[in-house]
Formats: sequence, C-alpha cells, structure tokens
Amino acid sequence: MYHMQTGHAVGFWRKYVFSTDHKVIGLQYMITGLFMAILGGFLAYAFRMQLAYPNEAVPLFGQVGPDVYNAMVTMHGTIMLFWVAQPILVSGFGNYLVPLQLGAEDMCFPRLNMLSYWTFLVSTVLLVASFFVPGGAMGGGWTGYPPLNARMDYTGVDWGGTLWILALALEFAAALMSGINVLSTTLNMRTKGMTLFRMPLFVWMQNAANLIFMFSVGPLIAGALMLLADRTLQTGFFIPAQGGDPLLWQHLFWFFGHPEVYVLLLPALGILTEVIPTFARKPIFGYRMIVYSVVAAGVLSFIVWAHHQFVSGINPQLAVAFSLTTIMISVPFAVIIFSFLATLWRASIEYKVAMLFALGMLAEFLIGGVTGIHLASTSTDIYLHDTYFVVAHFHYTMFPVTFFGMFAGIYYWFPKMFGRKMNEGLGWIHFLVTFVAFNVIFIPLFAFGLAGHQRRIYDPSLWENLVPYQHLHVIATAATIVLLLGQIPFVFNFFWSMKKGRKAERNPWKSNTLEWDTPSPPGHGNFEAAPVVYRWPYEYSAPDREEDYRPQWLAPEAKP
Amino acid sequence: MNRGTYIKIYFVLLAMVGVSVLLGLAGHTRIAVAGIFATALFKASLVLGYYMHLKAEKNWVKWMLGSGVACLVILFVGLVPDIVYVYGRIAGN
Amino acid sequence: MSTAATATLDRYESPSVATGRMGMWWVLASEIVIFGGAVVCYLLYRWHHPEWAESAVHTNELIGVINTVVLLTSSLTIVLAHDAAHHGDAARAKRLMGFTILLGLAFLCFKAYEYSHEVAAGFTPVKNLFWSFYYFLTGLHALHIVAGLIAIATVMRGVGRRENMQRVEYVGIYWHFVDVVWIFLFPLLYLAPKF
Ligand code: HEM
Ligand SMILES: [Cu+2]
Repeated sequence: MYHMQTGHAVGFWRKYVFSTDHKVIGLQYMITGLFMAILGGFLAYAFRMQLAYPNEAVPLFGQVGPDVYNAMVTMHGTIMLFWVAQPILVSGFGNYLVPLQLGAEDMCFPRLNMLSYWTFLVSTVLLVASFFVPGGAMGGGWTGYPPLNARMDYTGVDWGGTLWILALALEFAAALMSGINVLSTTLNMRTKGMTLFRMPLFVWMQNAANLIFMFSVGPLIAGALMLLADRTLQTGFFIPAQGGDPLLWQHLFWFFGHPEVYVLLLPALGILTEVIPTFARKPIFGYRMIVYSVVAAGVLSFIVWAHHQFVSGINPQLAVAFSLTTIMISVPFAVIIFSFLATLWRASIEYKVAMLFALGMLAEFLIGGVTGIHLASTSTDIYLHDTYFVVAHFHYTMFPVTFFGMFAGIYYWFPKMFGRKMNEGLGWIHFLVTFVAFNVIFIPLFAFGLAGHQRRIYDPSLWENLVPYQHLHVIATAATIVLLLGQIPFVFNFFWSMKKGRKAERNPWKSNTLEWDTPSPPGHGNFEAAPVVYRWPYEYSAPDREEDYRPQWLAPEAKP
Repeated sequence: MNRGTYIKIYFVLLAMVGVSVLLGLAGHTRIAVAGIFATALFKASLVLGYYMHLKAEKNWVKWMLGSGVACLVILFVGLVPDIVYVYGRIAGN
Repeated sequence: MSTAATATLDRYESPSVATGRMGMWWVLASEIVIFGGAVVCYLLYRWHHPEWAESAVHTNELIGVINTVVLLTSSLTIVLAHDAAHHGDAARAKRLMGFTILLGLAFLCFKAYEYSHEVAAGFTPVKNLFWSFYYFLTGLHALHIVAGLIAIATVMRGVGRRENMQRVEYVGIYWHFVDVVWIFLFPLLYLAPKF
C-alpha cells in the first residue's frame, strides 16, 4: 500500500522531474504531448504547402522532395496518433484524473507509473532522433505495410524505419504500464462509497480504453518484432519470396489499429461526459445505457478490423461480414451521442469555452462517423479507398477527438491543475478560429477525394484530372495556416493564466465529482481528509436544494 | 493447497510430458497431434489452476485472462481464410 | 494533510484482489496476447506450409524434453517457496528460490547449447521461415526467462531481510506463466511439427 510522504519537503527534482505523483506524471505526459503536437502540426503545414504550391520552397522549411514528403506524412500520422492523442487523452488525463475522481491518494503503483512516463520519454527521443539519421525518418506510411517496409533498400530509409519500430514498441510498453495502473487503481482504490455505478463516466471510459488497448496491441507487438527482424536480419516473415505473407501484417496492424481509434475516442467522450452535464446543469441522460454501450462497442471493436483491407485481396465473403459488423458498431456510439443530445435537451447551457469545445467535438465527430458508414460498405469503399475522402473522414474523427476533446478537458480542468482560470475571451477566439479553420481544411478534401485524388501523393500537379481542382488545395492550406496561428491565443492564454489568471476556488464550475473536493491545485496525497461518496456524480438541477447541484461527497441532509 | 498437492501435481505433469512424447513417437496421425495438444492444454490448466492458484482466484480474473485468449481465437479464425487458404488470391502465393 | 486520516486500513472500498497480485494478472493479460499473437502467426503459417515438417524434424527433441522437465521442476520449487514464505519460513523460501534460479540458468544453458549446434548445422534464423519462427518464439521466451530470473533474484534479496514476503507469490505467478508458454512451445516446435 502506498503511503504519502508528507511533512518532509521533497526537492525540486523529486517533485517535478522524477516524480511518482500521478498528477505530475499526468502533466508530464500532457506537456510532452503538446510539444509533439507542435511538431506534428508543423509537418502538416510543410506538406500542405507542398500540396498547394508543388515544388516551391516552403517558408521556414525549404524544398520538399518526394522522400521528404513521404517521411513527413508518415511521421505526422505517427506523431499525432501515438505521441499526441494517446499520451494526452489516455495517459495524461487518465493519470491526472482517475485517482482524483475515485478519491484515491495516488495510483496503485506509483513507481511503475514513473517508469511508464520515462519509457515514453525515451520513445519520444528515439522518434525525434529518427529525423536526423542517415536516410531520414520513416517514410513508408504510418501503417508500416510490408514488403515496402520489410527491407531497408525498398524505401531507402535505413535507420529511420528501425527507430520508428523501436519507438513504437516502447510507446506501447509505456501505455501498457500506465493502463495497468488505471485498471488496478479503479479496482482497488475507490474511496468509501464509490461503488462501480457511482464512478464518473470518465473513469469508465478510461478503463474501457485501457482494456481495449491491452487486448488489441499484443499481436501487433509480436508482429512489430517480426518486422524488425525482417528489416535487420533479412528474415522473411512478411516477404512473399521467402514464404511470408504481407497480408498477415495488415491483419495484425488493423486488429490493433481499429480498436486504437476507440482507445482514443473513449477518453475524449469521457471528458464530454463530465463537461456537458456540468455546463448543461442537468444529469447525464442514460448513465447505465452509456456504460453498456461502451462495453458493447469494446467487444465489437475486435471484429471490425478488416474494413481497412477491402481492396487488399482479402476473402470477399469475409469482407461482407466485416462490412456488417462495422455498420453495427455505429449503433452503440449513436446511443452515446443521443444520450448527450438528451442531456442538452431543454438545458440552460452555460457557454463556457470548455463547453464550446465539447459541443464542437460532438458536431465534428458526427460528420466523421457518418462518412465512416460510406467507407464501411465494401462497394463504396472500393472507389473511395486511399483517396482524400478517407483522409477527410479520419481527420473528422481524430481531429475533434484529439484537439477538441483535449481543449475541452484543458479549459475545464485547468483551474484544478494550476489554481487559476483561463481567460474566456481568448478561449472564445481560440475556439472560433479552430472550429472554422478545421472545417475549411477538410470539407474540400471530401470533394477532392470524390474527384479521385489519391492520398500520399507528393505532387498532385502530375495528375491532369486533378489540376482543375488545385484551388481546393490552396484553400485547405490557407486554412491550415489559420488553424495553426489560431493556436497562439491558446498557448499565450495557457502560460499567462498559469501566472496571472483569475484565482480559482476549489470548485469553480460547481461540479459534483471528487476532484473538486480538493484544493486547487491538489497537494501530494490529494485529499485533506478521505472523502466518502454518497451518490452518483450527476446530480445537477436538484429541485429540492438551494444550490442547483449536489456533489458526491456531500453528506445527505438530515430530513426535518 | 499444501505441499503434498504441489508435489502430486508435479508428478502428474511429468507423466503428461511422458505421454506427449510417447504420442509423438506413436504415429503420424491426426489423433496423435490432437492428443499432444490436449496434454499440453491439460498441463497448462494444472499449472494455472494449482500453481498459480487460479482455481481459488476471483472469477473476474478468470474472465479477464479468458477474454485475452478469446481475442486470440477471433484473430486466428478471422485470418484462416486469408493466410491459410488464400482464397481469392493468386494461387501459390 | 493528515497522513493518519487517509492511511487507515478502511480508507477504500474493499479491494477485490490483493493489489500486487492483481497487477501481476494485468501484466500476464498483456503478455498472453503478445505471445499468443506470435503463436497465432506461427500456426497460420504452419498450416499453410505443410513442407515445414521437413525442417521441423531437425529440432532437438531430447533437449526439448529435458528443458520441459527443468522448467516444470522450477515451477514446483517456486510454488514451494511461495508456500514457505506464506508460512513465514524465510530461510526455506530463500533456498527454494535459489533452486529455481539454478534451474532457470540450466534451462538457458541447454538452450544455448541447442542454438549453437543448430547454427553450426546451418539452421540459422534466415535458413527458412520455420527456423525464423523457431528462433523468434524460443528467443522471446528465453528473454522472459531472463526477466523472470532477475525478478526472482530481486525478491529473494528482500526475503533474506524478511521484507515483502508476499512478493514471492507474485514472481511465482510470473514464473509459472513463462512455464505455461513453454508447455505450448514444446509441442508446437518439437513434437507436433513432425507430422
Ligand atoms: C493540424 C491539422 C492537420 C492537418 C492540416 C492534417 C493534414 C493531413 C493531410 C493532408 C494528410 C494526408 C497527406 C497525404 O496523404 O499525402 C494527413 C495524413 C494523416 N494525418 Fe493529419 N492533419 C492534421 C491533424 C491530424 C491529427 C490531429 C491526426 C490524428 C490524431 C492526424 C492523423 C493523420 C494520419 C494518421 C495520417 C495518415 C498518414 C499516412 O498516410 O501514413 N492528423 N494529415
Ligand atoms: Cu477501422
């Protein structure tokens, strides 16, 4: 059992760097992720410039050649998914909030938690280093398909690809360690009264995400070792000439890859389940329904993977089955979305910035989800596969999840994390610019995909059929620049508010979950006295109380 | 569970090793292969049940480990048509 | 912050499984899908390539059997160590863990002997896919043996000082898992492929 070390002061290094405190580790994950987001965004800027103005030198970057283009797209995808979305949404918010919302002093295994972050940091260093090795960074797509990536000389990328595999393997190991902590803490460190069905939905979502991750990533780790051997030892696990089968890699990859999108989506939905009821001042609609939907989606997520392989030559009968399961999995998510809508129904909504991002995520994700249905159906996918329609589709899912979800979470929990509120005015600007620019980038890309623009091509001007639509690329690139510049108010707001923002009390949004029963920011050990939980976390607009909410920790009033 | 049980289980395990080796020598039949894997499963269940004390463990742990295995079964079954029989792809690949 | 108030025994809802053991079960759940994934790949390929039988006859069945017995014995010693630790007999627990480590090292020695003879006979990891899998699966397993040995040695030092005796059970669970993996690798690579 973990004991808090209070009373004696801990030095700077132990407190902020080699810390075992879940809050510090959560913030370390988030801040590392935010830095990587700058890198991922900069790569997007550079290759979007190349797409809009082929072969002209890109300001701040220089000439983008075909190899550099491939490397940038690959690294952009890899970074955004595994070094931004995953560390921020899963390990970052999960670490910071799960113990707090459960009323625990820390995670079950604080030292394992620290090991998790440092493993992640090593993986980050390896990944960034891979830009600078001879041959450059990995350029074979974030999916790492063989045979292309199974031999160094096929892509001309030497060490880059090998480092990419190693970095991913370490990142997975780090995520597993942090996941084990979340799962164990939820099972064993719920404060008195916190029964499973009184847990905030955020905790449910975090646990579901970590479980899904744990069970789907294993075969890919095995596959990654095999790919590594193919690259370095010249084995033939995925090389047809040596008896191997490239399709095996695709299956292993997507057996993980599809569940992974839910690993990222669920924590973001978890953020919404806290933000939306708070600012709608209404209980969440259908708490148990949401839990059961998450379980159903988790199970289904293991039998949809081959929808990424409809044109890879898989068994056509199997393709039909995967098509059906994929359409089925939209049902539980529709249930969750309707629960949110029902929560918002006739609510008197407080339009705080956190709420704006939450609503923004819902709206954008809906577009992503609906276009997913087109891709789930084999017949349309054969046409749309590997076009910009797909690029637009998955950005309409992953961008809202990653950034809108993350910003909703940051604006909402910032007062808890740093004891001060962020500026709402700057937040509105940040939201409006991000929301508009995001749509202006990706709506044209749907159209471009339908017009037959393939993804992962370096110079669209080489295709005559695409030349008439080149202005769409220019629009999207201009919007990308606006989007990136639109983050400046956020960065400023973030650092300025840390020092100068308005002081936040313990419970600035008048919410019900346990993290709001701690000082802002909470000290080591979190709670001044062990909290006891008396009810579920969504009692807003309680009619019989003066205040319109009733927190989990509040003892029931004595009946007169 | 006490020392006596552990030692008894140990001898059962050794006997099973003998059985599977004998099955390996017996003949090249499907039944022998099935027998070999059945003994492996039996051995594993003994180690899991008695040495790892899974028998006395909470049910959810069994379900949790079982779902890991279930995922593997799904993966295996889903891949048989593509990797083993390569239906729909150029023959001999 | 009052330590006394928060560190009392009934601070939390009653735990479902002892925390350390539960952590180990989660580790094993992650490991099952890693090893299992590798085995699934092997099985699929093996089924698709009946000609691998010709390569498989060259694995050294005798050493396979010996190593199986070695690992099963080490499983017995570690479970007896757990039993001793449970009854507070630190000296005996320590001795039995020492035996386990010796048996683990013996396993590695046999494995090394086997590898060196195979490589000398030309059966290298790149000879063909069967041999790639053979080295991949047994190599991954051997790495887990090494990790297990380090873990056991670490816990053993604590047991000598009568600290954290409950950890004997946790490393034991891990060690048994490594044994279970071998229980499947043995028929997969040594016995059954000969058909
Ligand atoms: C800054 C905003 C972003 C812009 C402007 C952007 C733009 C693009 C474009 C145009 C492509 C396709 C390039 C090509 O196929 O040649 C792409 C690929 C990709 N993006 Fe983004 N993206 C952004 C943010 C994100 C986010 C937030 C994620 C995920 C969390 C993401 C994940 C990916 C992935 C996985 C790929 C595929 C890489 C590959 O083909 O290997 N992107 N991005
Ligand atoms: Cu998918």
